[in-house]
Amino acid sequence: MPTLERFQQQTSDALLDSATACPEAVSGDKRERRFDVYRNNRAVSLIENLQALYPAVARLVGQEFFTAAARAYIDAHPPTGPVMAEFGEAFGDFIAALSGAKSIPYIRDVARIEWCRNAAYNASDAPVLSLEALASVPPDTLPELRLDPHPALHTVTSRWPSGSIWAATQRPAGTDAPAVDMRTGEQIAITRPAWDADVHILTQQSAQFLHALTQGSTIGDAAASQLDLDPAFDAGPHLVHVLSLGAFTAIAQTLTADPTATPQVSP
Amino acid sequence: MSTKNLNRSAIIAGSLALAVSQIAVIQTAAAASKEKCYGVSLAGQNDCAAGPGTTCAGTSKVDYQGNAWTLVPAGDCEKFGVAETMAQFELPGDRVGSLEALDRDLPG
Repeated sequence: MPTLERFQQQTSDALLDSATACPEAVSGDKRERRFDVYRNNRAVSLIENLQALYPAVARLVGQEFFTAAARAYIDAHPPTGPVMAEFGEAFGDFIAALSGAKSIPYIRDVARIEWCRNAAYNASDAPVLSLEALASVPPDTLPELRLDPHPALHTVTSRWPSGSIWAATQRPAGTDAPAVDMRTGEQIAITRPAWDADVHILTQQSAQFLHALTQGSTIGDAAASQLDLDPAFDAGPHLVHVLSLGAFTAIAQTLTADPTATPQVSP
Repeated sequence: MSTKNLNRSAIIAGSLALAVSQIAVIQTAAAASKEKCYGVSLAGQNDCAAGPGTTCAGTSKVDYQGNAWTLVPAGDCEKFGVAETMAQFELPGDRVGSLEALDRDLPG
């Protein structure tokens, strides 16, 4: 009798590669045929998982291509852990590298948006920093504040209008796709202000401002960087906008030196 | 600090203060329109957080598991098991929906 470990290894090997013989513990008639049921169940459930994760990609490439790509992906990138919410991150890169996807170079970024929606949906629960909370701090201290990003916040920078393309895949079947200017890149933010992951297309300025804030810049410094690029940059509405998306969870509790304090001079 | 920088700081501070002062007026619709409701989902149909050793959505083991929740429109949770004239709020036995995790119907 094989040990349990040996049986598990043989089962795993045979599931991952159909050319490998089924475990020796499987006995009786048509043992390979019967074991194929398990091989098939594994493949189908993983393909269904990708299908649930990447519905926009499936709609863009068509079901036949999607299923073929998914089948190839699960062989090339089998799950590395038991948590299905963490399976499939590299699918966008994988499908974009297939020769059949050459005509749709934006597919990788659309997949990225779908992956980020999955990550946002499964991110830790955290309160959303409300506009009211910001309105309650003394206005003259606003430029000095730093904000903590919400755990569900994800951003995608695309040289294609991937946010608009993703949005077009959400329309009811049978309706016409809106015109999209393929020369325009887009900055996309994914947030989860209540319970659902939302996809937002940001202006270049809002996206850069948001990026600086998520990197720990004070609101004032983040605004100054944009003001350097555009003397007409009006920080207030951009701040209200990114906050209202649910991008932040709290005002950072940072220890800053009190400018009014008398410096302590050691004797 | 140069005059240019002083001006710039004043512009930023003014812009932020103005925008924030208008918040009460513009008020967003981001207020929670849904709530977590414990103890009302069928096995495998919870939205998330069915307890230690599980990972979120679809992991509850028993019907109406007390520590698994489903998102429902805000205000609806406490109608479960109470407003039973409406079919969607029916729960078997004396179970009711709860905004807090419950210790009933836990997997053995």
